[in-house]
Amino acid sequence: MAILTTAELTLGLSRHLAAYAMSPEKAALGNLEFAGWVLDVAFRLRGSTTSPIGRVKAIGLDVGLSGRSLKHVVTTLEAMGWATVTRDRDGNAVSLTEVMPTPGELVSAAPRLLDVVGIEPVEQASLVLLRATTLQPLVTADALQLVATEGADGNEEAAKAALRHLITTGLVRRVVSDDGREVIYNPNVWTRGDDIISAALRAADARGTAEVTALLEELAEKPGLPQAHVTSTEEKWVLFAVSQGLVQRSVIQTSDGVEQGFLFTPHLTRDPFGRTALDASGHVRQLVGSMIYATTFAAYKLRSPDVFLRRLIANGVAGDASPIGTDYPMLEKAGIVRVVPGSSQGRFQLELLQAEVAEDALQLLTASDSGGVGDAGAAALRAQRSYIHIERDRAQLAQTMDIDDVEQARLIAALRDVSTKRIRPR
Amino acid sequence: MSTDGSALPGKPARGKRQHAREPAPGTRPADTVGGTLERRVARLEFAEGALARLRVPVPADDAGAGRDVLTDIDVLSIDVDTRLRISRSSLECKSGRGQTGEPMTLVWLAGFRQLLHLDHVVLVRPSVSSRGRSLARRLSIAVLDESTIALRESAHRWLPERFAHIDGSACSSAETRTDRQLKGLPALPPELTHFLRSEALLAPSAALLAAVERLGTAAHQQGILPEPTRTVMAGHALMAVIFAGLQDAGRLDEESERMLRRRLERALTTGDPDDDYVLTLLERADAVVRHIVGRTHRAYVDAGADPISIEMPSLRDTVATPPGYIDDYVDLVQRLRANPLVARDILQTAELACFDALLGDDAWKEPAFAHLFTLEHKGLLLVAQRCLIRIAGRQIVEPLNALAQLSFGEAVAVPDRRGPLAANDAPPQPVATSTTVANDLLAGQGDHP
Repeated sequence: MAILTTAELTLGLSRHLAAYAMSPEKAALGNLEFAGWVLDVAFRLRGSTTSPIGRVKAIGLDVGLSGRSLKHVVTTLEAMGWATVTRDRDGNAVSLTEVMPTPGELVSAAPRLLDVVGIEPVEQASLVLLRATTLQPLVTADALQLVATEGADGNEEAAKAALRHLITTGLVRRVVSDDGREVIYNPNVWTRGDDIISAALRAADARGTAEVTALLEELAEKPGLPQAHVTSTEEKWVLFAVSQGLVQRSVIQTSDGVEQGFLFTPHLTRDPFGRTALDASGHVRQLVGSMIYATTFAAYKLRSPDVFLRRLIANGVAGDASPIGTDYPMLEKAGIVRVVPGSSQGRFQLELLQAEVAEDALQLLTASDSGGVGDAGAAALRAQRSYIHIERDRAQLAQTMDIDDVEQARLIAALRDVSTKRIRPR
Repeated sequence: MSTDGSALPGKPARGKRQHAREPAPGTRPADTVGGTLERRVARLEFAEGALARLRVPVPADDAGAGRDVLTDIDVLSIDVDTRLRISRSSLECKSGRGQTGEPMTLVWLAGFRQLLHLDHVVLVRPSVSSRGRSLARRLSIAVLDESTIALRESAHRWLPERFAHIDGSACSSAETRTDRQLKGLPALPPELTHFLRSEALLAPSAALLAAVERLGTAAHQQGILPEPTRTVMAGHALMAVIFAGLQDAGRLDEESERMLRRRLERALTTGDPDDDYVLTLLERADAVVRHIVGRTHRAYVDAGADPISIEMPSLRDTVATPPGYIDDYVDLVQRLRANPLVARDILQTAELACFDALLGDDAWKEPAFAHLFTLEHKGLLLVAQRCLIRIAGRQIVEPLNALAQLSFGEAVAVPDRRGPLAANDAPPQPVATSTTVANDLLAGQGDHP
């Protein structure tokens, strides 16, 4: 799954363009802007089932659409099979009934929406370019090559035009390095300034751009992923990305006494759409990731995340520190916690909104490998952990054949352990 | 339990095959004196806001050949309150006169309530003795006699006499033909169709979803179903999805959406919403299998063979993969809960739309049902239809496409229940996250938290 969905990019681009006056560049991206409006209205209407037309108009105005634009948007919603409009005898719309799918499916329907809207090759190229440069800084020639093959059906002109439009609208920044090569990146995500270009150049020199892309995509999906769990690339590329500042690593000791590196990307705060499909565990991972983050990167470091979480669950609020005011926007957006003022000015507390997420996160932070009783979401998370654990065991076992029988006995004992626990009254 | 036998079905003529024929006039359950009483009671229940079904068979646990039905519920009535809490009632109709069998029936009903976990049981008789009333009071059983029924009926004269499953002519004939057609459709297992047609209103939500999913698979194997079986089964499947949704929507006040999702996932994978041991057990079993396979591999390598890498499927993952429609279904549940005043009627709306309108009757157009056919009802019905597509596939849902063409009181204005757009209207989850994220991302600001 791409780090930024087409829906997100379209919606974001559309809102970004709203701030610009009419210009040839903006006009060239007009279909994308329109598709963004459709998504915006769709997300606001979703869940209301049947709305009087007055409400739909109010939503349109709130999005910033004229009556004429809204009419086109509603027609597109009908064409997508997401809504039906009921009209009175005179043909005037009276109400709108929406049957939009879940947010996750709405997001994945965005490419179909773009087909229905009929976007141009330049616009397609812009999306690919925007996604690529947001994910990581790239050497321009590589980026254009990527865009020409992925987004514009080999149309290099379209790729170049797309780059021009994105630079004009401030979504891509172009920097020329000392050796004359050009690097482009999204200045809104890569805020460290132009130093970042050296990382891009080194990755290109080491022919590791694709590896780094895969790693960044995986990390953006799972912030705070333990280093040992990275599946997208090899260890050496993880180390390379860390050394180049493309990825941040924090090392802490986990509850079972093992030192583990947890990886983050600058996209940490860029939580993609509140997906629901596998969200349950996504939220837990976010919370765990934030806790680990707070223990290593915060200005005043959090000492024991498990104690903090326990207090949060017991009292509903926890903490009293200044970093809390700035460190948890992602959790706030996901609706897991809310930041409330603390004991004095400049200090903040966390208020827990989703107790279950915190309980699962606590379980994950404190889980020992013998555990196994819990709910499915946490079990799924823990499963990864224990699977890795078994794999590690296997790796060790490969070298030491003689303890095989002992190991086998241990595994079977663990299996038996679960079945006997079942007998315990609940 | 059916009527007192005031009109028993006619005996089959000796030596002739009876099953292919129509029963003799006046001998079908619906045409007997007891059958008429049942219909009147069911009509009254429907008029007062409940979904009523006639002669619902109760399956026996130890079903053997020819003994799979324990008894039947004369009138099963499903009430949905304004918070979408569901209560089931059984109304036992006895057309016999006098006190004959009265105490026996009351005591029997008390046990019946316990057996099926019913919320209410009602004894309906032409007259009820004071002795019977006193016993009924002690057993908390309601009683209904002829005069009370007549009094209540006078307030609902505008309701049609017969409609949908309340002995509506099109529905009865379609169901009878479906019975016959199903015998020639081997891919649709009888226990599945029987469950969806007769027992669904007594089943928990996960069982309903699993049955609907199975129906989709079975129908796919069978190919195109003949009419009216197609429409009838589609109608029952839609009713099952809606009823499951209502049960879970009513539960949303007690357990969170997260919990609901988890319990559903467990129920649909391991078969028990409260059992999380199976998965742990499989996880451990996986570990043992992997270990032994790994050991075998090494032994071969040691003996001089080349190592081969074989992908090992995980038992746990195979079992624990929840069906893909859960999100869609939870969306339906939330929409039902968001508008309980309309959602509480939706079973009645679906019943009339699927088993009256789509089967070709006109009773649903009566003004008495106008309150069930508003645009808001249509909206929820269409969402349920969308959910059914996700669960059972397009083929099953096709006959229901005509639902969108039915007239749903288009002239009446839709109330704006959500009020004017508030400043913080965008926020709840998906919208807020998406737009703010998109905004931040493109408008800049901020690296790490």
